[in-house]
Amino acid sequence: MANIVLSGIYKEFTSGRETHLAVDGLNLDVANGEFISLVGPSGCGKSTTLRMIAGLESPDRGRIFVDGRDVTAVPPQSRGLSMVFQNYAIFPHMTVRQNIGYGLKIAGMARADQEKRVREVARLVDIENLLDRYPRQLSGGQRQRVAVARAFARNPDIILLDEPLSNLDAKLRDQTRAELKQLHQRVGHTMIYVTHDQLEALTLSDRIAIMNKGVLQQFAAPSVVFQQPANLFVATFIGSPTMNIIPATLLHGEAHTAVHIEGWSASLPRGGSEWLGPTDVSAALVGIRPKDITVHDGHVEGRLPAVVTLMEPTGSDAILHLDADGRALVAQVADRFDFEPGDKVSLDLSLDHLHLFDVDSGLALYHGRAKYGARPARAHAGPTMAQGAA
Amino acid sequence: MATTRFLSKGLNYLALAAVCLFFMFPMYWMLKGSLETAPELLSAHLLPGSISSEAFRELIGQASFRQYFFNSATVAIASTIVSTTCAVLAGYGLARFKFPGKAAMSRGVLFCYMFPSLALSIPLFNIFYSIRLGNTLFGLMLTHVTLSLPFGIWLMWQYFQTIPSAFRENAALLGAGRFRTFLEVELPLARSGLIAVAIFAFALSWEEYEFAFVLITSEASKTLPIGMTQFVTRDYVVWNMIMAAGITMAVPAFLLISFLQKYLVAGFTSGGLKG
Repeated sequence: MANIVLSGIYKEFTSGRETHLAVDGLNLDVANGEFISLVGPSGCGKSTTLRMIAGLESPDRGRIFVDGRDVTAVPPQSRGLSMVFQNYAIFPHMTVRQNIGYGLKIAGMARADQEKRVREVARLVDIENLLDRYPRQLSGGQRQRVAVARAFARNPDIILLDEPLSNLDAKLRDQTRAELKQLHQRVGHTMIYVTHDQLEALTLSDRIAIMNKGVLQQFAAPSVVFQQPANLFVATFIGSPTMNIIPATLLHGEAHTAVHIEGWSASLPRGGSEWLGPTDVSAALVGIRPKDITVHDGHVEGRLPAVVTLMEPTGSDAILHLDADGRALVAQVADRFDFEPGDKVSLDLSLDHLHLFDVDSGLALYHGRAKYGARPARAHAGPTMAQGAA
Repeated sequence: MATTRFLSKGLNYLALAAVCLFFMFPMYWMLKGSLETAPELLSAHLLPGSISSEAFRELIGQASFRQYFFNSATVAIASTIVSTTCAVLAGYGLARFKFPGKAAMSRGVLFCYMFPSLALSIPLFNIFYSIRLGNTLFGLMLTHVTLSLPFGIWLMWQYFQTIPSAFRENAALLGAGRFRTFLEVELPLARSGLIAVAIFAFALSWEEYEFAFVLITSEASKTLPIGMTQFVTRDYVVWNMIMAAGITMAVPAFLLISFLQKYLVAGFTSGGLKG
C-alpha cells in the first residue's frame, strides 16, 4: 500500500499546430489503501492522469509523490505499481501462467516461488484451471481476470485500472465489478480506477474524482458527489437519469428565499448551512433529480403543471418525459406504469433534495438538507413567490 | 435458384482451374523435362514418354553444381540473416523512437525501395572491386542485403506500428527494460512480419541473377542461377539438365514458402500490403 499525491499537474499534447490541454493544474491526494475512481467524459484527462501516475506520460509541470518520494522523473518499472489496461494487453504468445509470472521472472524470483505466487493470485481470481491456456483460448471475462491476476502478482503498492470492464458484456461487468470490490477489500492495495461509467465509480470507490476538460471538478465520497454536487457539471454528470436543470428567479426575504420558476414557486430557508454561495443572487438554476419529483394525476393548483410526452418502463420504475410549459423534464416514478403520452399531470419538487446553481459559474449555491438513504422528507410546495418575498 | 448457384459455382471452379493451369503449366513442363532424356524432351509431347532420373544424377554428380548450390545457399542464408536482423532493428527504431531526421530517413527507405536496382550494379561493382570484395560471396551477400533491406525495413516498420503500445507499456510496468521488452514481447508479436521479411530476403537472394553475373567471375564463387548458364553452350542446349537444375533451385524456395505461407500472408497484409 502507498499514498499518492499529485501536485499542480499540467499536461499538454501538441499535434501539428494545435495544442490540447489534457490536464490543467490537478491536485489529488490518495490515501493508503484507498480505492478512488477518476471519472469524466471522453477527453477529460482521466486516462492521461492515470498514465502520468504510471510513468507512461510525463507531466509538463507539477510533481507526483508516492509515499512522499518524488517519482515524477522515475521510469514506470521503478515506481512499484501495476496497471490493468483497457484492452488487457495480455501477451498473446505467452500462456496464462507465463503472463502472470512475467513480472516475477523479471524481478528475478526463484522458479518455485514464481509458481507458488502465480497459483496464489490465480486462485484469488478463480483462473487456476486456465494456467496452461493461451489468451486466444480464453473468453473476454477470463482475459480480464488474467490481466488483474498479473497486476496483483508482484504485490505492488498501487494498482491502476484503466477502464478494465469496458470490454465486457453488461452481466459480466456487474459480476466482475463486485469481484473487484471484494478483491480490494481482501488485499487492500491502493487502487486508482479510470472509468467513464458513473455507476462503476459510485459502486466501487471510496472517493470519486470527477474531471472535465482537464480540470478536477470534485473529489469526494460517492454519496457526497451525488447529494452535494460541487457544480452544474458534476450534478448533471453523476446520476441516471440526469438531474433536471430549470432556470429560476430568486427573491430574498428576511428569513426565506423564494424560488420561482414558470408555474411553480417555493420558499427555502435563508442563510442556513445549506447555502454555499452568495445568498443575494437574483437568478439561479434549479437542479432536481428525477426521483425527487412526485407526479400527481391532473393539474393541481400550487404544483408544476406538465404533460407526459413519453414513458420508459424500466421494470420497477418508469421514466417519464414531461413537457412543463416548454421545458423538458424527466421524472422517475416507482410502481406506476399507467401513464400515456398526453396525460396531464402535476409535479411536486422535493425541496429537501433541491439544488441551486449559479447561472454564470455553475457553482453550487444551495443543497437541500435531505440525504439519500435517510428517511425521505415529505415533498411540499412552499408559499408562492409573493408570499415568500414578503 | 439451386441450378443458378450450381452453375455459378461450376463457372468459378472452371475459371480457377484455367488460371491454375496457366500458372502451373511451366512448372509441369520443367518437371517433365527434368525427368526425360534429351531426345524425348525435344519430341515435345505433352506427357513424358519414359521417366528417368538421369539428368538429376548427372547434375548432382557434377562437383561444380554442388559448389554452385553451396554458394547459393551460403549467400542466401547469410543475406537472409543479415537483412532480417537489420530490418527488424531499423524498423523497430523507426516505429518506436523519436530522433532527428527520422522523417527524412523513413522517406529515404521508401526511396531506396523504389530505386531501380540494376542502376546500382556499376557503382557496386566499382566499390566492391576497390575494397577487394569483388568476386567474393561476401560482396554478393552484401549486395543482396542492399536489395532486400529497404523493403524489409519498410515492412517491419509498418508491422511494429500495428502492435499496440499497451504491450510495451505493460511490460515496462512489469519491470522489463527496453531491450527486454523488444526481445521478449514485441519481437515475438512481430513474428509474422519477421518471417515475411526473411522469406522475401531468401527468395530474392536465391534467384538473383544480374548482380551475381556482374560481380562474380570466378568459377568457385558462382551461384546456381549463373552456374545454370553452363548448360547453354554455343552449339548445344542441355535442356533436361537445365530443367533439373531449375527444379533443384525451386524446391528449397517452394518448401520454405509452403511451410511459412500463413506467416507470409499475415506479414504482408499487416504491413499494409495485400498477400
